[in-house]
Amino acid sequence: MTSGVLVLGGGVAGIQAALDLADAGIQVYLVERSPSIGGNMIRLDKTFPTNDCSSCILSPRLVEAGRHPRIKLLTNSDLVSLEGDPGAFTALVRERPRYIDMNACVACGDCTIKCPVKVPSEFDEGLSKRKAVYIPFPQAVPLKYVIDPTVCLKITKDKCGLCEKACQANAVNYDLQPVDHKLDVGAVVVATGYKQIDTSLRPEYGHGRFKNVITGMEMERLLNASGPTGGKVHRPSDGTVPKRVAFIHCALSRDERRGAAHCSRVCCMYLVKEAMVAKEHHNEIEATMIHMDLRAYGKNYDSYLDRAKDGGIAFIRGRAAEVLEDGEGGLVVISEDEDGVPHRTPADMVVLGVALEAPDGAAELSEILGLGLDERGFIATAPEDPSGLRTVNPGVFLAGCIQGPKDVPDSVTMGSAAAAAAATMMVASRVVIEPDEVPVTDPNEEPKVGVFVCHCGSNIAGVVDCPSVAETARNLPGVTHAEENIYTCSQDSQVAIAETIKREGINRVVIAACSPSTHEPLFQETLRDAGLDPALIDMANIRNQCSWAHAEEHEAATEKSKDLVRASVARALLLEPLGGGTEEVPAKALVVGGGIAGMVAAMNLAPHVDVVLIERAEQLGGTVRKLSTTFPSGMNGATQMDMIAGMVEKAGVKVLLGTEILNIDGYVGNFKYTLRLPDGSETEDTTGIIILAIGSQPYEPVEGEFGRGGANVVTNLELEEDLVDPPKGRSYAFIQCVGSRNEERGCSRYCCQATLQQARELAEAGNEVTVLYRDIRAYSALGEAAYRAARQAGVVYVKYEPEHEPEVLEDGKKVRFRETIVGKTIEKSVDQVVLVVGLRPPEGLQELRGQVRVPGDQEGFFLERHPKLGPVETNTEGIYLAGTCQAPMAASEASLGAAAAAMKALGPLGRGWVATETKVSEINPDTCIGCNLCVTLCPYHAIDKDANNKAQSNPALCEGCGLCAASCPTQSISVRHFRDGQLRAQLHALVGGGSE
Amino acid sequence: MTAEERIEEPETMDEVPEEEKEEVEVEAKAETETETFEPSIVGILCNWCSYAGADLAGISRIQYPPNIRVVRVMCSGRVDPQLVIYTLLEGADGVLALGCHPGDCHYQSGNLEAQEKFEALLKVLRHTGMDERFQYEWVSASEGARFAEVVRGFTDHIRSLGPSPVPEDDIARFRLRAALREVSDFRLRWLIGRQRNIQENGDAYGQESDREKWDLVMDKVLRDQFIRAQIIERTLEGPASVEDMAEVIDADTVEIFRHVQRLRITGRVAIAGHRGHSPLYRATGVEAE
Repeated sequence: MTSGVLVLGGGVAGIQAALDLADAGIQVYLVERSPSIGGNMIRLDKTFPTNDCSSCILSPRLVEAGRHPRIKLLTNSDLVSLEGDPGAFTALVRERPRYIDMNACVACGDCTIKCPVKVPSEFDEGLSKRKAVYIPFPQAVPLKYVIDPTVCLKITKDKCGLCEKACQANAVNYDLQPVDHKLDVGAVVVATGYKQIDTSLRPEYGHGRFKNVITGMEMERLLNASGPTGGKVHRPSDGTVPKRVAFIHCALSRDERRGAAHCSRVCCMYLVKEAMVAKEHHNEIEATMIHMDLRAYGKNYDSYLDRAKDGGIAFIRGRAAEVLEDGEGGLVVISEDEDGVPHRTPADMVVLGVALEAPDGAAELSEILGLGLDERGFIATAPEDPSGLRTVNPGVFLAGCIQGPKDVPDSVTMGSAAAAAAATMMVASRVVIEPDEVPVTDPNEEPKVGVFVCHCGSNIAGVVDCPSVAETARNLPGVTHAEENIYTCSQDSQVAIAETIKREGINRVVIAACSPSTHEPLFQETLRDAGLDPALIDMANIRNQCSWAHAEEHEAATEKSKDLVRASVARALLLEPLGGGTEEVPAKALVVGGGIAGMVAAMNLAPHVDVVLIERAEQLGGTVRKLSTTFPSGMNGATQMDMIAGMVEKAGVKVLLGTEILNIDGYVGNFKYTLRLPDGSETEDTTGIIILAIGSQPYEPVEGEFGRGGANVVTNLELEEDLVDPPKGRSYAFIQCVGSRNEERGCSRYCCQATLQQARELAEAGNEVTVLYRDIRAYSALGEAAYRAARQAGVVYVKYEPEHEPEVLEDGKKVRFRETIVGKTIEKSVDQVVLVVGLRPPEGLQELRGQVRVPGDQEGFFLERHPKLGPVETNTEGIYLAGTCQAPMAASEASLGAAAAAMKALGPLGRGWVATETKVSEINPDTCIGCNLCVTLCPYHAIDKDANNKAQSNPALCEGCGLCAASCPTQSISVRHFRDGQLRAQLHALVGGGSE
Repeated sequence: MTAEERIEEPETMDEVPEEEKEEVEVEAKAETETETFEPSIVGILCNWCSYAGADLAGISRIQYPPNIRVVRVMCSGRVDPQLVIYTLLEGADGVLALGCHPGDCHYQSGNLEAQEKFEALLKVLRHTGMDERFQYEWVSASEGARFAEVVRGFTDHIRSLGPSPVPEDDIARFRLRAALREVSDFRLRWLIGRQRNIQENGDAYGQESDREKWDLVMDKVLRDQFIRAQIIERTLEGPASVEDMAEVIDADTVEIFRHVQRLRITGRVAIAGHRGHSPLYRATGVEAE
């Protein structure tokens, strides 16, 4: 058996690690304790800050992981033992019996109808019932039924047996025994997630005592369209829609006495999200947040909070103490604000943002792996690794929430980063992957269009009349089949669609569902499975463009859906098979920027491919080098950077210092770049992929802003020099959020925790320190503990509101601020004012953006491919992002992002090829007059002249933009898949051939 | 009817003299129609920014009028002006083309080239009186709210213009067909395709170009080409004299005659006979669009 990587846990982090490794040619064993992969994320309704439907964005990944040729999925399984050494472990995995033969089960559901046992559904947090034989949720992967042996009457009492009789496929077998799998693995990724803490630790919050006190996860299920109430927020006691809903933040988090001392990191945002979504579902709901610090530290999180505030959600600052019954069927939340003033918030329903802690079995697992737990109960990380990726076992890595609570993008990033670390141990085990053959479809076959109309649960069907859309489709010329699906993208539908295509002889497919941007690749796979060229599909986006955008206008949304389907069918009739093409990717990588992100990215790629790392400065280390002490490792910045630079050198990275990038051109597998070397000469080279790690720059306050320009006013970065040998007996005032959290910019993420470090060092050295802050966003694994330590060291924290900003007087010898507790304005004499500044995009980013074709985000940083699931990728294949050029972040986070970017790059680099564009331009030599216009217009220099002075297009270089086709004076150019005829057919169907 | 005229309007229908009553009623009917009129709007969106922005609007549940129907292309640079005119000829009340913001094009310069095309297209459409029915905007992948705002604004604008004259009005169709012919013409396409490059790098002789002068030349070319395209369209319908042409073409007979002569030299119209002393012309070697 080929040696592979063992990934424990099939949540979003584990799936990410598994897919990344498998895409790079490494065998993966993905072991999941429950009967389906998907983890906690698949149970969430929406994800902040985009309000993306969680299951919509994750489901395609589940399907991909389930059908990947290099991922062996072991569900209902546990790790029993791990023997051997890093690089050569033997893992024993025990697969508990499903009592259903996975090969025979077709997931028809006949068994579950007959089953007489009803127990609370884990997936719905007990808010609905499931049977003893069940599937956890409709999009489960693998989509196979499972019998719960703890409640099955046949297994527990040898009675019943109805499901066996009901099953026509003979899949039920009560005698199945556990199966042991002995696996050769080189490395292990632990991604077993988290669980909500036991709420009975704080009985005063009333969960379990009062029906209408629910947890955040219970609320997710209530909000979900496919949840127990079909997306209606019905309070558990009487099924009515609550008018007043109170959300308690930090319920058992940041609670040293009885709950979890740590910050659970996601609750601030998800509670706000739940309130917003609840208000979307029921406009009459009045939502109140009872919160401590609002930790909206991620990209676009602050603007999300602003939207919530503008949307009428109330925010009351304070710690909730107790939930009481008001004697009239309602509840009252008693809280106390920072000034000690008690508040009473009446509510019809209360949602607890319950603390997250290590999942059940974490202790046993850490024992099997020999890792130990940290003081919070999560699996302990290696003390020398501030990013939390490594453990004391050099062959075992952590990803996602098993290292501490995390939001989705951080879990995804860490999943990729853990994959990168595991991949460095698997260099010899990478296998060569040949590109898939593309099925050949005869272009001259008479087109037969199959139309599949997705309900997307109630996401589409709740607004659009799907049966009538399908009916319209059925009557269109060329359509030979039309059907509806609850979820067209679910695994069972994929299988069924492939079968229908074959059975009905369909050779053009129209999917009326969501966006081709997210789902077309998935359906193209289905076409392949059905033996069709994957280009023969068109998607009508009736969810994003109809049901979601016109939620109140059912009729208009339905008519629009019909028009979109009509246009898709018209287009489908004219689609041509495009075949496939591949482009070689040489084993060469370029990393731009030699800060911590660039170095870590280079280091992770170096065992696999040749890496060039260029840095503009004379030294590696970037901004971190300037820090006297880094958070949370406490190590000196320069020492740490020297250490990593040493590792970069040892790994064989070619480092070019004092070197600037002048130009980047080309495409994945064939990038050309020009460098200016320290001696002023210019040199050109080629590379397969590029990782951008060009960092950020600190905000420079303008003259007079918070006393800037005054002799005693410095920025936090300027302060670093003084901290090498900290002074004593002085008085410092830090002002947080300078140049952050204003109208143009969100939170700069790194600064709160960096200030904790500086303030504590100064206080411990015997200085008086005051920190003027807005919210202390100490969200990281060690953040909350560091915050407590700083307070214990004597740092005084004073909150300010943006409408009462502190004033700096007398060149920084005095600060004036409003003290909220006594409600007075105070003037305080200090020796130094420290302005804690945010991060801005670096110089040169704008220029680079044009060359690599990556758009900018609202703040001017590089825009990632997807804020949740693609944080280190871009829309340009072969270009990846590492560190703060994507968004402000801490150094330890930048190093994780860098490893993740390296892993993403290892996909094409490891395979040695990428699939190339097939939607390329074609030039008709008979009508071309050689006017040269296309040659000058093509942004990719893909067109030149042949011997007869006719233009010719190089399909390897053509990106398929179609500019040449739209411009050609003699209309001799056509671009495949977007030909004039195809577009005109769509336009005609939308307007001329419309319903009127 | 302008605002000032409206003030003069009688308070009730009783005060209106009988012969004027009908006219007022017709106008009133037209106004009600405008209120209930649901325009048919087509959006042509680039895949990378604008289509993603539309997706985001949906994901964020930002509501906008349902009149727009979206067609996806890879790049706004793919939007041949012909496609826009074709859509208007098919009867769309408005066409909206959206692309990435300048500097953000996934294909580097596609949107800048698109801008040149769209500006020229607006000038062409101005001759047809349909320029208000086409608009182009930049919407990024992160601008879901902006997408909705642009769509709302354009829908309201088209609603205020009222239904497209195309289905009812022969002249409107005639002019659009001529415009379609015009933007299919080799020389015009070449000029549009070259203009950004010439602006930035000078012409083939190294002469720097001045945008204002260039625009004046373009305006002249566009007017001439439009007249010629109309001559061809008219003579395709059947043999026509210069006087016949002047009935549908917004130019005097002298100017039309000059263009007819030019078209004769290049072999695109020929004399088909005479009516009295007037020669009749017909199109040769061209096909109907």
